[in-house]
Amino acid sequence: MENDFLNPQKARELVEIYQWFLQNPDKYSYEGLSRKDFLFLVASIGTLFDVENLEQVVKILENIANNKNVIPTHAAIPVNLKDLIEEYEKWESLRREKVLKKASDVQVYQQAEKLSGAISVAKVSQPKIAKLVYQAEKKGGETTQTEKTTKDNLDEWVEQARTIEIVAALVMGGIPIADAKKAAPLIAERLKDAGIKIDEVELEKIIQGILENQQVIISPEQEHAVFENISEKFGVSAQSQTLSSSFKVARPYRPKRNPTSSTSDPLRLSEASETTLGTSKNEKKIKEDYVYLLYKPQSYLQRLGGQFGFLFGGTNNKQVLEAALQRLIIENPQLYTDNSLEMRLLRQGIVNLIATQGKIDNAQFVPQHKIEEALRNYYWSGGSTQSMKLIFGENGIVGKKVNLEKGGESAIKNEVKAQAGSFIADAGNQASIKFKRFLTDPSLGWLRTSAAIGLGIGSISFPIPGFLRIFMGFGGLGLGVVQIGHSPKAISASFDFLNRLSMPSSRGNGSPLGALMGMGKNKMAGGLIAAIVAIPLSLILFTFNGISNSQSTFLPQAVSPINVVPDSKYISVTKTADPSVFPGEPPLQVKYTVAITAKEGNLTNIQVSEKFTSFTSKGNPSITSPTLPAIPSTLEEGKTHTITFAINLGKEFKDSVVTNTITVTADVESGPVKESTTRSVSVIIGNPPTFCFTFTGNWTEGDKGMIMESIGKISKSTAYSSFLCSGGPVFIQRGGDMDYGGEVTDGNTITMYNRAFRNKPSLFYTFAHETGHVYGHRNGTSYNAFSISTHDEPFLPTYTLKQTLDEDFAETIAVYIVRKEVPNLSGVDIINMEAKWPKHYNFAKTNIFSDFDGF
Amino acid sequence: MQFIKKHFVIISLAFVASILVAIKILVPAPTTVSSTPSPIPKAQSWNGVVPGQTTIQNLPESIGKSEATLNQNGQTTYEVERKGGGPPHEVITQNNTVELVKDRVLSGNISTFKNNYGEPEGEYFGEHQSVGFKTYVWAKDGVAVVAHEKEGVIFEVWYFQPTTLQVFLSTWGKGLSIEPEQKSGY
Repeated sequence: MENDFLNPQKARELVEIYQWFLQNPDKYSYEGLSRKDFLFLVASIGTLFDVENLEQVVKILENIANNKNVIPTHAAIPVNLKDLIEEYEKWESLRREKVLKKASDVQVYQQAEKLSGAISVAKVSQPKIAKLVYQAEKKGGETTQTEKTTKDNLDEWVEQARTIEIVAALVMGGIPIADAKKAAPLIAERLKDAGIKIDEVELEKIIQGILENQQVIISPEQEHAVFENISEKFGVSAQSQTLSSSFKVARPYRPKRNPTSSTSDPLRLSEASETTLGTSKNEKKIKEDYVYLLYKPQSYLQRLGGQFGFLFGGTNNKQVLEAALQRLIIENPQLYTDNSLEMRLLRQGIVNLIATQGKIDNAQFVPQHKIEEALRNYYWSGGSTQSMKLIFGENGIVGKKVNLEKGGESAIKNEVKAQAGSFIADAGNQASIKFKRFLTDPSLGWLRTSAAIGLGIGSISFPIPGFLRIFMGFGGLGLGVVQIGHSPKAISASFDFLNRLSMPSSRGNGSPLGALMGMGKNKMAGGLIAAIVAIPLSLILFTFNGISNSQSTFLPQAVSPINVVPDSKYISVTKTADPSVFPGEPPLQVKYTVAITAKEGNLTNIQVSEKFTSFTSKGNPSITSPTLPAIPSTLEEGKTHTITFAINLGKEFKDSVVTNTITVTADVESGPVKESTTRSVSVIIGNPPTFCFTFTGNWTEGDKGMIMESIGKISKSTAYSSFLCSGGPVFIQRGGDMDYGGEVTDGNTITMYNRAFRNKPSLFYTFAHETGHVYGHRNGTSYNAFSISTHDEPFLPTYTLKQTLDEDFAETIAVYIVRKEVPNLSGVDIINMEAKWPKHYNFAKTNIFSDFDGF
Repeated sequence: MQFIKKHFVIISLAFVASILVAIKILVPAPTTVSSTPSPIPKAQSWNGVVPGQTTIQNLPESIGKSEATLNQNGQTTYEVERKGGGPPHEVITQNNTVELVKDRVLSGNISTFKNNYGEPEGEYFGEHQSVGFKTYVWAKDGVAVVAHEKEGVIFEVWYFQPTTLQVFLSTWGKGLSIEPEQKSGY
């Protein structure tokens, strides 16, 4: 067999490199191949010829190069050398690509990667290799070395490699390479100290201290990344332990096994082990973090049919879970990165999950703050039926099964559970649940028997095509066998009967048929049942899946809106209130600051007006506007004029929202006359009423305040708000990034996304639009009337996405509500709604708002 | 045993003959039956228009004036003016034959249909779902109703040739889904 590794050409090259190293004793590497790696390589080659002297090995190489020596085959190469050869060939490949010649960060990283493989080989190398290498270091000096000396020598090389790895870790963490090179030896020095007790916290301090001493300025994120990289490389544990002076390969985090936990569920953590987590800063940070895993085991039918792999290949757990992890990273980049500690813990958790759980049909990892949203979506899509809370611990990840459907997790609001339960009962899984029950419920034996007989007779007597006849026949037979399976006596009797028919031996050792098939009685019965059931059921499932898929392909792509509410092109107004949130009880003084800027063109005839509105559960107390400071009548382009004013609010404003709206009007030189722009700002005092609107999930006070302000405005129409609320609570949850501003997900829940929070008019409009959808869900009659009343008018142009009748309905409500405060929506003048779209206006005014127009 | 050995051939022939006679007696000879094709269930009539039967040429005048036609996917949609205003009815034809009628009733309640036809074969999300409407399908009766989930008020009724639910979902029900719509934005 041809030896591709050690051919004459390569042998010549190795000899040349050896000579180069001899001529350059101060050089660490040759074109990226370190002296240490090279010596390991040559020494390993020596093992093929049972030669321990370096010069002898080089002599052999020279002979090979000159075709004077027999080249060993692959079969003779020890396993550890094969690893080293692979490393060497990788290096060669890289070298060919000239990658290693580039003095870049990539070079350092790749070099370290290469070294780690070679070092792994060294770890398992025979002592004679180390001895040989040591001889090379001494340039053929002493020929005998003690084991200790050899080991020390190995450690020395390992330290060199470790330093490079630390450089790589620092560079990968964002540290400039020059700084990394300075800091790495110091960090390596600290790490190599024999007997040092080091844990994660100490390591973090060491890294931090050294970097500070080196005056390397890094962000907390960089520091965290560096820490993770180094701790991963060197396997530093959170538990204090001694770092051996010998090399330690990277050690993955492993879940802490609780000796008392069930072997069938090793991820499960007892309460005691959860409470044993440490109290250091770092541990605390980890302890508080967890993620949910929602997953769906394969269905009863899939498991049953899974005995026949050709019919039900099933899912690959690893692929399913890894895909779910990738999705977690993509959807939550701020929380998880591919190399983060949490992600590594999760990956390790997956290994255990795969080993201990059955087949999984689908899975989803969900951060805690997204669990409610995920549950809704998941249950709606017929997703998970199992939930697990994966808690990050310092030694791994622990799984705790939680019942999210039945109140096992306090984080899940009742309404979510109710919706989820309702969905399960009413919709998607209903058919499969019933079918499963039909097959398994002992009390339904009469039904199975009847169905089996019916299908059997039907298959014979019905005037149906042959395919259906066979199908029904198999179905009936399968059901019959399933029913027999529910009655042990029946099944044993039937097999006794088969035995008798098959003329058993006088000793009664089972039927010849069974013997012929090489199966025992039970196996045969199980296989028969599975075969008979799986075949027709698989056909059913395939047919059903075909229908489902064809449906999902044609899902309508309706959308919810988010419209940009443009500011005036000529006037800019910014406004703040201090305080904006006042948790206590009035009286209080609120100070407003308004800055007016001439954006384009000089402004003349500037006029400023303002008004206050408020709402509490006890009415809308009025506020007397203060006298505004004098405003200059003109403002040059680019200039800003700032005014401040304050109001005092009395006890009547307890638990209220007070909104001040300021309108600036001016003539623009060489531009429009009476150009105006409006800004509102609200102050939340105490706990103002939110009527039927209920906040769910995580909200910041600021975002909540903005929504409450919108609620206050919308609730001015008693007719609208009272009808809206007559249908029960309207839940409001905070979504993240989305291409649109909001949506109504189930008729009762409004989700507001980041896009809506860009500015207050946008938020107000989006929220009003979504309440329109909720209104429609609660008043179908009104929607039908809308379709008649507005048919002769086009859809409102302010809705910039796919225009449909139902979106036009919600848009009509939104435009009617916001048109005075947001006179220009999506570039469309809507303040004149009455004149431009009279039928829409009249319908909204008469049918929705009962002639109220005080928004 | 000697008797059997002696007359083995005769006994064997008699056994085979008996089997053949038994087969002849027990298995009926194949008969040629002139099969009569089962009649295709007739669709329900809407103002004299019967899906699957009514052609474009004999669309009754009683349905009123067709306001417009739209050609989509080889189909022609006739928008028929609705008395009382509002969105027009739609009569969809293919190959000159009416295949689907969408009657914009904008009144009535789904309970009427449930009383007539029993529980629907399927409930789906479709058009108007963002304001709480669902599509209830009785495929074997050739009827689907778009009605408000909470109130039951009907927006429109579809008439088509009776068929299976599977066929319906792959044809007129293509836009329906068992799940709420997937949101997408721009």
